[in-house]
Amino acid sequence: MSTTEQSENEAPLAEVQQVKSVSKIWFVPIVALFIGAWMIYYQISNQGHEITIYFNSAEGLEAGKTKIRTRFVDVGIVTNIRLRKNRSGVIVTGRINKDEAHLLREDSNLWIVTPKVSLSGVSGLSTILSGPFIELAPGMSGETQTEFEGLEDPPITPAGTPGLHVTLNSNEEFAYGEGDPIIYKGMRVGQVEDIYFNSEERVVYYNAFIESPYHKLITTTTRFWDTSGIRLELGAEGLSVHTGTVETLLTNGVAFGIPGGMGRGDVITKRAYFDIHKSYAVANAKKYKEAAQFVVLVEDSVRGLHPGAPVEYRGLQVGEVLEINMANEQQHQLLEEGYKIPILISVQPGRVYQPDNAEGVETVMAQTLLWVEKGLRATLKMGNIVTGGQYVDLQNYANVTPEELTYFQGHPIIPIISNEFAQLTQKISSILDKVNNLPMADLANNANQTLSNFADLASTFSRTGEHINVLLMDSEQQALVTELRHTLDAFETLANSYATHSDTNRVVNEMMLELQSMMLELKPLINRLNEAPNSLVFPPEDQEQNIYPRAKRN
Amino acid sequence: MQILRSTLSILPLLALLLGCSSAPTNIKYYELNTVVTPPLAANHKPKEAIMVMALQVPDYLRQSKLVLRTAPHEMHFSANHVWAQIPEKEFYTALITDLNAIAASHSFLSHRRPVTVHDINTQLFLEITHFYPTENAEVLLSGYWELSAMSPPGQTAQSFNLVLPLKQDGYPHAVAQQRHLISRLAEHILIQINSQ
Repeated sequence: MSTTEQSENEAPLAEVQQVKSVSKIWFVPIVALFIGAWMIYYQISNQGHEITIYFNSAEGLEAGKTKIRTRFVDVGIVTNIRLRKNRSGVIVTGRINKDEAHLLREDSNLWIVTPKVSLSGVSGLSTILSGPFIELAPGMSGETQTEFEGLEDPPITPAGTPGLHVTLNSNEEFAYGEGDPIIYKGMRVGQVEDIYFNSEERVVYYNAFIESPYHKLITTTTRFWDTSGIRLELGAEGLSVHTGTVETLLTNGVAFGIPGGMGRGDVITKRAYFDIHKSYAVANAKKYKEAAQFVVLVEDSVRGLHPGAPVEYRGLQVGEVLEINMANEQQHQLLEEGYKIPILISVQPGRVYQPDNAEGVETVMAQTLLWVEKGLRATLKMGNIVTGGQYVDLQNYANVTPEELTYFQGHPIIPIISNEFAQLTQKISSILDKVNNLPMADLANNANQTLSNFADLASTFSRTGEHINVLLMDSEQQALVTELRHTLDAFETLANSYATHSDTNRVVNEMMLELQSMMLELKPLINRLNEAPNSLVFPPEDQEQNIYPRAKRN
Repeated sequence: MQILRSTLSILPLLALLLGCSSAPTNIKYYELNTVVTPPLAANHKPKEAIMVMALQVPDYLRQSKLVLRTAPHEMHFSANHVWAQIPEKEFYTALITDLNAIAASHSFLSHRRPVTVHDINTQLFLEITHFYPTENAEVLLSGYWELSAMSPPGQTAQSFNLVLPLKQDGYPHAVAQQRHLISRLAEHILIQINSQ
């Protein structure tokens, strides 16, 4: 081997030198590190707020895909979904865009938007293709919140909607649901938001929202009444049919308004409480606050008379029936004869144009009692033949027995007079009783005897009549014969005057002879004119020259 | 009004004119019953009364014109030769006159006499069918008579057809011959009555 070859076989020795600076290669990872840190920072600073939403179910939701939207604008996304450990439901974690953090208010509402079909309409159809999303309705509160209790359904009234919240309560058997309309003169101006049942008071409260600008219609004199479905009423006034809108025909609804005759009152600006009345009529009736109460003791049947039936005076409603068969100490005597059913009636000062206050009540009370002394009486009358509905009628009667003023449980009693039907029934009953008490057998025997006597009498009359007829005929015949005789005598006298040897006959004969001779003289002329009318002017040719009887020629 | 006046004034003038223009008529009157019968001799022998009832005559004997048959079925009513009286009455009078003049045991009464019908037992009914001169130079009288008795009940009926020749022309001779036919009829009736 050669040196060259030997040198070629020996590796050169490295010359070790000390590094004096960092290697440039570190620039890459450092840059990468900076980029990474910057990205992390950017991500963290721009990732927005994380919110937590509690739902009953996460149906349709998917972490990383389900959007959170406000007015169909993506404002966030669901990041995590997990079950709630202690309570039923799910915890949905989402992140709202940084710029949309102002949407996270204390009163913001979130709910899952899915396709829904209800009586009020169809919604969420777009989610059939796009999939459910979470709708965020921002609130108006100033407080920020990141944990929310998700709603099952969209809020009836979006937060911030201008209007008025009212609370309606009812003791009646109404069944309103969320979204049932609030109607004003046929227009939907609001809806029921939610229902709350107070188990202690046993009252159902309905929170309702009246939209702007109709919320200004709510005043202190406003009354609410039910307008669900079709209402048929058969009362003393007759048959009445009430309906609301088409929507309320199928669902329930509440209407409101100001009863006739009442002022508008003050506008309500804060949540107020109202009762839901059974109907407009009931609501209208409730406008009268004060009433003077009286009692009427009825001996007849009160069937058809119901609380709320009108009390009328001369045809005008002045009050209503409050209570039938008032609770009293003598109630146990109901089955005993003579028990009078106490009816509590009211006379409302507002209806008789008196002040609707205590002063008006006193005035009405004093006036009514004065009239009672002068003959004011109450009567139960039938107002509707179909339903048999009765009402209380107050009338002044001229000839009535004065009665001392008495009281029933502190209420003055208005004496009662039986109605026409009852009076008629009583009279008929008394008449029938008298008829029953008649000795019919004796009467029948007497009648038979009378009839037989009458028959004998009739036959006697008949024979007498025949005799009279015979007598009359004879007398008539005699009279007729006498008349005929007179007539014949007169005729004979007349005939004698025209008899052959009488002067009249002679004169007539002479006259006839003169007529005959005159006719004989005229006869040739008449014959000539008959044959030749022109013979007077143009003498006819004597055509008879050759016409005459001829003797036989030999 | 003026037209009416003129019309009323013209009418009288026309009447006068017509009266002046009309020619006088030349009418002859004839009487059938001119035969004077001699007065009856007093006869105290009771006679059976026979009432002659009203004649039944053709219509041409109820009018005044003289009738002439000019052909078998043609009649001529003369305008210038008229009866002075209705021939029906003259015929009746002439017949009763001739019957009473000839009858010896019967007395013929006129139905116009004031006697009750019940008093007369026998009645004579007479119907004339033809009574006129003919184109055959003769006069004709034909008809039918009936004699009816009530007690004893009985009836006699006979027809007759009497003819006399015309010896002269003209209506006067024809009327005279017609009068003779009535006498011949009376004789004919009495012959039959007496023969019963």
